[in-house]
Amino acid sequence: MPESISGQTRASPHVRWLVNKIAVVKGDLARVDTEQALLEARRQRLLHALNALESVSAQVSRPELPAIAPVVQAHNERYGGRGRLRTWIRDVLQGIAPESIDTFTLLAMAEAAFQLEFSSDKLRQNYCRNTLGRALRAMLTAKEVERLHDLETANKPGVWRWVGDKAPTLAELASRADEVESWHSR
Amino acid sequence: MALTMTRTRTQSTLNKFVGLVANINGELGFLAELLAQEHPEDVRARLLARQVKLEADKATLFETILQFDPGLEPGRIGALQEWKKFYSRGRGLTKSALATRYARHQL
Repeated sequence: MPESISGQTRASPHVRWLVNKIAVVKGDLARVDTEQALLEARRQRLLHALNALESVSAQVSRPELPAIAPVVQAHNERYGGRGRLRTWIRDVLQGIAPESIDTFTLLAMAEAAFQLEFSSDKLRQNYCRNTLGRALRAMLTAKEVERLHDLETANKPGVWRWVGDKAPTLAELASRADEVESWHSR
Repeated sequence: MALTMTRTRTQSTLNKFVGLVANINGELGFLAELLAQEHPEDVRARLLARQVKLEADKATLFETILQFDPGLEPGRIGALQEWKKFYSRGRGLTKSALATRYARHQL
């Protein structure tokens, strides 16, 4: 390794690149290991539960149940019941209205509110995009929230604001037009 | 919670499983008394095997009950004696007659 005038060793770019790359790959591997260990533990718990259910099926004289029961991707009761996530988002947005909130802040609040734990940033991103994003988009379709961000702007979180039933109807706007007119003529 | 179909079904299922545990508790109590007496070696072995099976069944029922609600305490379920009907077939049997029939049935 060449030595500089100051006496400090200076690694060449390819060595620095290699060290950097090795560190990143090691980090990714560590994440995968953590994720795998969590999944394996969950798998064992589920297998144990399945064994118990199979045994109980036999005890009630229906040993064929495990074989005939289909595979169902059941609703995950992560939030303590069906529809709770959307209710929670609604409460948060209604609480801060007319202020807006961005998706990342909402994600951080959801993590705290529901004690969510993600073993990697990728899973956290997936959750943000797929779960929170889906709920927000559904609420957008239902005209409960409005999108304040530009869809074309990349690498920026979405910004959302509660609309709810506070949005004026066309008739209300028309009735207030006179009011505005008189204000202008002043 | 309203008495929806799901709620009713859940409650009935829980009742059923608790009943199963209570009967196992009753049978285990009877078995413990029976095992305290003298028996031929083969009969004792069968009774012990029955005891092991009942304990295993009880453990899986506990686990299943906890899937309803982890806060439940299945260990506090008492004992029922409905399991005796299978051996007495509707007739009132003395304790010794029941014990004889029970031990023979395990062979």
